[in-house]
Amino acid sequence: MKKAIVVLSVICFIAASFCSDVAYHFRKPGGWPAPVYDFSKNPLSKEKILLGRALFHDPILSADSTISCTSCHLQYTAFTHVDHALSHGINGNIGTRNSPTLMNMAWGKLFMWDGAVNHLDMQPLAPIAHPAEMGSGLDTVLYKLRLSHRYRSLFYQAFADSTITGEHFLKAISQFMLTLISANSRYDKVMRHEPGITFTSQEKNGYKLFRKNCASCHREPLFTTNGFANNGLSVDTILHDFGRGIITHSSGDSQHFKIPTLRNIEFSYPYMHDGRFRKLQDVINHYTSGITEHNTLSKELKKGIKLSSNEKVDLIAFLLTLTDKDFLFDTSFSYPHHVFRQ
Amino acid sequence: MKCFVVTLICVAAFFCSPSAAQDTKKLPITFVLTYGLQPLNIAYENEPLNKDSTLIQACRFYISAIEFYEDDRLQWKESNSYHLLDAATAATLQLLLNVPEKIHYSSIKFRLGIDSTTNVSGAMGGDLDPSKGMYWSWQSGYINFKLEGRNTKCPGRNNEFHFHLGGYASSFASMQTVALTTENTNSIAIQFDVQQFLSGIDLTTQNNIMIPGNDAVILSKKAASIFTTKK
Repeated sequence: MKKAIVVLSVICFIAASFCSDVAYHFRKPGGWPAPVYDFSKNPLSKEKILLGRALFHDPILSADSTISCTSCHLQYTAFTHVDHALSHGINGNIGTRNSPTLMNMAWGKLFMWDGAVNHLDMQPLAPIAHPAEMGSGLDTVLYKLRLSHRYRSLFYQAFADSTITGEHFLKAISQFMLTLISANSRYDKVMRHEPGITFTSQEKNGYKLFRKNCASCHREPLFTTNGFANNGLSVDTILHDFGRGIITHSSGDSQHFKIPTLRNIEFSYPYMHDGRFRKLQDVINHYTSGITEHNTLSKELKKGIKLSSNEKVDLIAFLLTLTDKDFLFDTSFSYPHHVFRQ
Repeated sequence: MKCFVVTLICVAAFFCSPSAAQDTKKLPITFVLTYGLQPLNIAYENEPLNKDSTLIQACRFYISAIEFYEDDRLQWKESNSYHLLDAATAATLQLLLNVPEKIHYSSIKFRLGIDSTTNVSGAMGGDLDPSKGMYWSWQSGYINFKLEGRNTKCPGRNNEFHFHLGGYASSFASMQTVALTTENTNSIAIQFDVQQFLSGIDLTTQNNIMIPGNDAVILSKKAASIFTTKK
């Protein structure tokens, strides 16, 4: 019997050495709600996150290997495509929507401007297949990855399986996206009462105005409810985009778009689902004097927002405190040179 | 270390477990796909299309939640019961179930399609892997039933028709339940006649359904009604 236990232990030790991935502990910022993502179905590990990071930065995902996730989601600009109202994909094709920022994805419920995607794992399928984005398909991408010794090895290190399935591919990209947490802006530091960090009187007034006029949709600490709303934009006569209504087929959802987070808004211009506003000033002016009446208009906007020109400046001063340079320049999110050098 | 302990427990459990609590037997369920009275053929690419004829290029669907009943009492249900059947791959058309040896049943029940919980639970493996071509990319959700082919009545490119039936949200939930009486035999054959499915569709006007909606629900119901255990 003793012998059997020894033999068993040896077998187990050998078996265990094959699943040697290193667990990664997801740290929820203090005071934040519980994440929506179910980590029990996709436990984070350093190897899986690294694999996801490599995939995120690799143009192999697109039909002609020219466009990666990061082409339209650049880290330094809060993982969006700065200066592009509508993002462009393979062959210079132009899409129909402004690429959204990527951060705090673990708290997301529905993804894309219209909520067409119901789970973070499934989100990459949309840009991979969209003809104006990556113009490829999951099966094609998997085929290309399977030909790559580098990826067979990375998948093996991550999942103890080098066959490269769609499930593992998607879960690895999710893992990387789940690590993109922005919670270290000056706003956060003020809220945490960090020594020596305070709002200026202008920012303080801006925060008060924000709480009064914006916070019901752009709810703290995520600065979004993750819901959808009609924020009074006129329908673009070329794009004819009715947003969430197209997905739910419900007239009540017509012209509803995802409420985006305001974190790192300083760098995520242009703004709105179609990138129609280049400057924060334009966004504020829209809310004070540019609202288009519609029966699905958000009830919060029906009575109008009134701000003096000084108040507008104060509000913008507050919004700039949401910039998180630690996030924008965190090298653990950047192009993984060490992986691609091998 | 944690991994080591888990593996130890698993291996120990494997060696220590008594022989399965209940004796089981294999019960094959064969899906017989036909086009009228003929076996269903999947056309090869560029096969010439004769007037008034139909070529089927793809016929794939999910069968899930298989259950056996006797007099409305559940006798056995398969756990993790998700099967992707593909007319182009004969092996997928025969399911081999591990049922209790002494099972008695008078009917079999299954779903045509994938339940809403699975539809919103992220990336899955096996037959549910999104790389199987049965998952939409532009909008989340499984395609429950896919039928593609050509018929001269279809005015579009290459006279093609595409029916991608799916949708899980309450208003457009397209998964269907199929209940069939069956004899308590050592194997079960379930027929599905593609011609019968197409017979009620006017292909001149209805030849492309690739989004969730009322049309998908109506055609899903029609598809579910065609399964039969009758010879």
